[in-house]
Amino acid sequence: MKLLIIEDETELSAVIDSYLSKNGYICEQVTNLTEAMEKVAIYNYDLLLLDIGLPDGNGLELMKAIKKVHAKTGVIILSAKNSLDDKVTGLDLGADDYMTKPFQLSELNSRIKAVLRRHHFEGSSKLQFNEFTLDTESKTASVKTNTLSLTRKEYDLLLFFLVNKNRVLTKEVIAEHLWGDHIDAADNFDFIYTHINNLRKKIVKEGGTDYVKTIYGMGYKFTDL
Amino acid sequence: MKLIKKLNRNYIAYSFLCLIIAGIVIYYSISIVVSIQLEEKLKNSTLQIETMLKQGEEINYLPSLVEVSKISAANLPPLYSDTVIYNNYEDEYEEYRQLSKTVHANGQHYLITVRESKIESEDLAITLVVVIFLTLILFTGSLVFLSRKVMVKIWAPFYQNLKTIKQFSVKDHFPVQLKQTNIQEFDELNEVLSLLTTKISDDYRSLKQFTEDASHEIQTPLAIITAKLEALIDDSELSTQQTETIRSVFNSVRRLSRLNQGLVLLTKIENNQFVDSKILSVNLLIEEKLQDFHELLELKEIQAETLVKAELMLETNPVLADIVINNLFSNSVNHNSPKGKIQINILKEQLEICNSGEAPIRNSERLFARFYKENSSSKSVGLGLAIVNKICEVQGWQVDYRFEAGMHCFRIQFSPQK
Repeated sequence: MKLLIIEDETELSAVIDSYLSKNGYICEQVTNLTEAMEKVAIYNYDLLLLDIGLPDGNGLELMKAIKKVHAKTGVIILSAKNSLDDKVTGLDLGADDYMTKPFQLSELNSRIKAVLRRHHFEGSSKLQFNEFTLDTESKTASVKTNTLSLTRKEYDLLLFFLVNKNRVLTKEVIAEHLWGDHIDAADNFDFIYTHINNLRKKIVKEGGTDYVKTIYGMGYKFTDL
Repeated sequence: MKLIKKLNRNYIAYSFLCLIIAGIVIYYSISIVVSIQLEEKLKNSTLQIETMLKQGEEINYLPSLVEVSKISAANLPPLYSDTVIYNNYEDEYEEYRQLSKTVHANGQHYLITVRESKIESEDLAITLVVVIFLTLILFTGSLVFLSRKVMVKIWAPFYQNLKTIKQFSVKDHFPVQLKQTNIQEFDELNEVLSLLTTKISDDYRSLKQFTEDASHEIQTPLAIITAKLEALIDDSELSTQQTETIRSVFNSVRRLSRLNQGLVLLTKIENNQFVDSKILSVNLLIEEKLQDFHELLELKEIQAETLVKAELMLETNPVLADIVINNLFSNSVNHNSPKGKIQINILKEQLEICNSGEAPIRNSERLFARFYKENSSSKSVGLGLAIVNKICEVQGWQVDYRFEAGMHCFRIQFSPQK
């Protein structure tokens, strides 16, 4: 998978690059619109991470250009402007997703995976991990041949774990992924523990392995290492 | 009251007062003139009688009008007086003006009394007053009517400009176009208004730019911090103490970014930047919200009950409506008692979200203020209800809080739909 990160803050693009590289993506970074236009003209990318507030122009210009040449290229807009207009315009122009800074890298990773799945770059809508199979179209999960009867949030949680496997996910990040802004930062997130326990029980009951490790003081990690 | 109406009302009131005064003055001056005339006439009559007496002529008595009597001796000055005499023919008393005078003629003293009925002169005076009065009324009436016509014409451009200004919105990118009136005061006003509205539009634009810039400038460094911390958390070579520290920094940064987003949102609402509206069902929104919170409620063992008395439809901005309902709902989840209850009532134009609680809010009047925290140790950002309040203010809804039967209740009264 080849990704192009178009972001004028090199600090940010570097950390995104290293995070995504660990996940097996090939990333390239550019800091302005002109460079991005050149890159896009020469190479083929599966997905663009596009900051629309660039020093030499609006990233939406690139959106229009890319959708003419490579309509299948996925685009996720990264914007510091939590502006509804930009969001609507961006999505209208064919962006696949819109993220407002600051965002969690694990969340970004999830969204990238979702976009790639939607474009069927990874073969099918099925996600495989050892004995787990997740069908992202029907939103069902199974262990070996047994279907897991999960609630919507439990399915989302399992998908989030699978997409971000081998990574530490804090309780706050999990809570925010599942409930978005509904969760107040002040809340204590002990209920996540109960939520994860329910998921663990269901997995074990259907004969699966519990890959969820508790990292003390931090959160959880889904890993078979 | 409209200016024209007020002016006219004043005109009429003053004219009326003037008319009354003028009427009184006219009446009295005419009365005086008429009575002088009358007295002149009486004086002439006496002089005539006196001459006749001196020439020894016979005086023809005219009862009640002319009386001549012989008297012994007196030398009184002529005396004018009013008297009332009974009229046999008309069977009523009539007012007369009389002049009494003593005359010495041919060695004999006479007392001459000449009378003249006042009725005629009074009638004359009244007729005159009425005619003048009617003329004045007609005159004033036509003046008022004319001035109204003229004023409507003069004020027409003013009202047109007023209409233009009423339609002015800070979001417009062009200044207001006001009509020239050729009246100095109005044109000066227009000039000032044009300047003001241009300035307001400019200020609004720069403020909007500022909020966007501010959020941009703050969010980007925050994004870098968050991303780097997250990468750091992934590093398993950290000691427990280090992870604790990083987690704490991580959560503070998240709080800071929430705070920033909240403040930016508040400014946006204040700036009326959410303008598109559509018709949406609050019932449906609540249902969605319950679905969203389903697991969370279950995990926290909170019972949620909804009482639907009506289908509540709103024509409003969907983003704002979602924020209001979401903030109230998450508020009721986050500040609930353990194993508490949430009661949602949907009425015709009212939404009520209640949750269990031990005691009423101590400073309930400050509940909707920015950064208000009931519990100072709470890590809450303290903007949720301020945002709800601001949205309600902008949308013209009423939001209030009360504590009733162990429940914190937030109620929104939506404005009646057109």
